[in-house]
Amino acid sequence: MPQLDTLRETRTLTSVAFTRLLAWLDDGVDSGGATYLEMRRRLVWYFDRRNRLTPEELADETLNRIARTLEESGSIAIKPPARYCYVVARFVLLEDLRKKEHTHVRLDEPRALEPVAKFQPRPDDSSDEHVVRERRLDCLERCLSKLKPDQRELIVEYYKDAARERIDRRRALAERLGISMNALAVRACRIRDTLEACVGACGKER
Amino acid sequence: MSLSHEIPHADEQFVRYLLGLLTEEEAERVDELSIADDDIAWRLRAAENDLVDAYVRGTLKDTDRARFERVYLVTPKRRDKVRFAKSLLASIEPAAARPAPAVSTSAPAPAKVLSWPQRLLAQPATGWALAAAATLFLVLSGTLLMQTSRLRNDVGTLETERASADQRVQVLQQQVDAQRAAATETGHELERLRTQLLEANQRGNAEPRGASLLAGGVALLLTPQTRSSGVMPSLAVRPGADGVSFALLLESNDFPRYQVALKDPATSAILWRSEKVAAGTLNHAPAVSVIVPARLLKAQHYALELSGVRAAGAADVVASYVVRVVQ
Repeated sequence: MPQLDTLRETRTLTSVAFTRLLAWLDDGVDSGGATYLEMRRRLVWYFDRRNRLTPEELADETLNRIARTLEESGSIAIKPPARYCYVVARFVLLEDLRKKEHTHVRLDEPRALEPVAKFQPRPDDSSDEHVVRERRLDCLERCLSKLKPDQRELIVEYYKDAARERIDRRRALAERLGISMNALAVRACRIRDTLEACVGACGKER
Repeated sequence: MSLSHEIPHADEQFVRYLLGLLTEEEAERVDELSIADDDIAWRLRAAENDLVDAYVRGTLKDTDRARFERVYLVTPKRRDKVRFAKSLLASIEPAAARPAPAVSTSAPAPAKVLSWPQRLLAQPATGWALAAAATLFLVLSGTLLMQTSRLRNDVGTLETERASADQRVQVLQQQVDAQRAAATETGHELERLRTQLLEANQRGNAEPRGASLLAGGVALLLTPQTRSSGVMPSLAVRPGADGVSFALLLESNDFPRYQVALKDPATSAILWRSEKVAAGTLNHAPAVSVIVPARLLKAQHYALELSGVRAAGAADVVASYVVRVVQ
């Protein structure tokens, strides 16, 4: 089995190979690259949940391998494309585990990659952390203000309150919008993703 | 507090997955679905958000909290998620997530008012004491005046807010009335469409878009399952028919493509999925037409679950239709 380093190519994708990958992922519905981004995101989170140190690199490696297969074979029989992405991702994961198992952790033997004590979620931050937190809040307020009013209202309603009130509130909200609880969860998740990305970008700008 | 209060029962398996409580085999299955299945991918994300929020709110049980910190909170990306959740919750619930403003520091006077006369009575009535008392009186008077003025302002603000809330309630009421009226109108329109379709079928003609589909086998026009569902539509499959055409009426056409899943409501098993198709119109109403293989249909109830497929490929369930197949 070739080592990941040798497979993590050196060789970049040609624009033709990349275009072919986008089309294959789209599976007949032109998404303008959105399906690629969504798949990359899912792969990144997959590798992250498996406690890999470089989830972005591994996600890119997965997609590059698929692109090369498409380039060499012309087509991939396994359908749908997302399932094939998982198959390749699993190989990439296993190779990475094998290569770095002495430095990484397994999911079934969870150990912190960094001591958890470094992360203090409670409000006892130092003044620097306080400034960072305030800055993040400013970013969030700014990003919230960029949402459409109905989106803003939905995310506030959806994520407000803990415990039992939250479920009741969501049920009422779904009823009011005439959609299922599942559809509501997806809608709220999408808005939250947008916000999270906006806050991340805002944090880097400042 | 149990996590099950925060997260719907069906998604608790995702929480167990995120906390590393599933077997390796089960975890791999969730891994696969989190990449290959749109619905699962989004539900997992939603469950993850709820779990992170519960952690930030401090509503996780001690054991869950410890496990969350030991198993979940081990990568920079996930720690970022927690930081974001802190900001989000602080932003939408300022009172709950941020330290409460130090209201007490702006009103220190009452404690002095209570202790001052006692202290005065206990001491000799010297000039210094009187001067001090006079000074204290002036300070207290000033403080009281300021407090009174602030309270007046607060009352004014509250009245404005109440008036604004009343106005908002009125606007919302108008919106609800308008929606009810629109729903009634839609109901009449659907009834009219049903009648027209029935007549068209009897004549052997159908609407232009649905014609090729409706001519292929038994045809049925279905409306979304609503809160106040009426009589369940039923159909008999003609012996020898290859497929059964369904026209699923939409409340609104919000997606470029749609996909229909035939489900057995008893087991929730998906028996068949359509290709991704664009919606057409049926008498000016948006509708999706699909042909379900007749061999799949037995005498029982079925649900047709309609998902809107976004340009990005992600799908949202937008409506569900029910039908009864009879012999």
